[in-house]
Amino acid sequence: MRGPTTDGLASGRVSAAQEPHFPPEVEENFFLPGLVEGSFPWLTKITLLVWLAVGLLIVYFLWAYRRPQLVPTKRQWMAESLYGFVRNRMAGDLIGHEGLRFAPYFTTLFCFLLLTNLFSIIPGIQISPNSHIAFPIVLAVISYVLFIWVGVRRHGFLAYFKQALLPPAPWFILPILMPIELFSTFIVRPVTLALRLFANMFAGHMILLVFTLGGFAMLNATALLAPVSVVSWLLTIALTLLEALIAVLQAYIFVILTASYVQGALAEEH
Amino acid sequence: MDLAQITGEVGAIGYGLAAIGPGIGVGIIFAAYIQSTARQPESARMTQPFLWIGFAVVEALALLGIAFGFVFAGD
Amino acid sequence: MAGDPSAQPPDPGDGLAGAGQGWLAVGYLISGIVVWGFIGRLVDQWFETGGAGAGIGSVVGAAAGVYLIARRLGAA
Repeated sequence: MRGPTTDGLASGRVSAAQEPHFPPEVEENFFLPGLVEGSFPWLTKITLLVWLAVGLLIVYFLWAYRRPQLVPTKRQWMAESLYGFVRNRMAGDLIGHEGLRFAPYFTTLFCFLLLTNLFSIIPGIQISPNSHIAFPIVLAVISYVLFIWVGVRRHGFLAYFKQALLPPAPWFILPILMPIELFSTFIVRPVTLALRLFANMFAGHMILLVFTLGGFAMLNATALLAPVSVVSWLLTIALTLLEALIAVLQAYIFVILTASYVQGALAEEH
Repeated sequence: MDLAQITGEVGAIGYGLAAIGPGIGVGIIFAAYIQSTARQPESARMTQPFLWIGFAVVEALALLGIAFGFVFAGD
Repeated sequence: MAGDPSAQPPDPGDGLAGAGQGWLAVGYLISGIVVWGFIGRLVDQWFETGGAGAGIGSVVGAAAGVYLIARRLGAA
């Protein structure tokens, strides 16, 4: 970390403490270094953030539910509202009565995604673990295994695949339609679940980087561009609010799509 | 004798031109749906299937444009 | 218009609503084109027909995708 540069000329150059690189590179900003010099390269800020999210969720729900009362206290009411929202609006409305047993998993998933997505705008943290493709991939694989498992449990192994792969159509068109259903249900679904979450978080972080570092770059280029730097930073603030909206929305969409796939697996029709 | 000549990636220009039509088409479809729902909200549920069918047919052309870009480039 | 109280998004029978249907439609289209375009390309390489196989496969896949969408999301 370097302080302000001095180079003998009264050029009025300003440099942020970390010598900003513009345009921002993926290597430097997303593949963070290990925190312990020389060993544990996997122990980065991202790893700590995931552990932090898990710890915070466990502590919060345990604390909110100490000594529950019939007339809920404020903290109990907040936790209950959160659980009630996922259980009723997501699991209940979409899947119906048998969806209620998925409510705990969906709530956990929703809260974890909400927290890790919001990490991308919390000052000091400012990066979401979901901007590394690994974490969305694992969550998407879990959802994938979940809806297949539920379908096989309900219908039996062959009957489930028959129900999933054969759309209602005249028999002679079925050979054309079957590969499409196969691809769309068993390949496109998990891939788009992971990719949608990853792309939104990655792009959001990138946009904030571009506007922030761009402001500094313009400031360092010529003094004439200083007002444009200010505009760039104001846009950063506006985009941070947009990022907050997207964080919540992406968590919601992930869980609602998972619930909808489970509902499709449990459906009796076709 | 050539009057004019374009060199370089002509396929990219082709795809750009091919994306104009479906873009306008999808916009018209959704605009019609929004307008009809604004005029008579109870009809929203009845007209929604036509929304998706219309979208599918128009978007199919857009996606074929992307696919054919790869088909032509791969030859 | 005249104060319609039930101003909620329409609730379709098969559990998807709004954005879910949109993603389903796009998913079927892309899957259709990719799958049958790929099969068409394999046919191409086998029969040495230049780009025609992939092209025909893509169009067949697009048509099949539209058919699936009409079946699934069309008027019941």
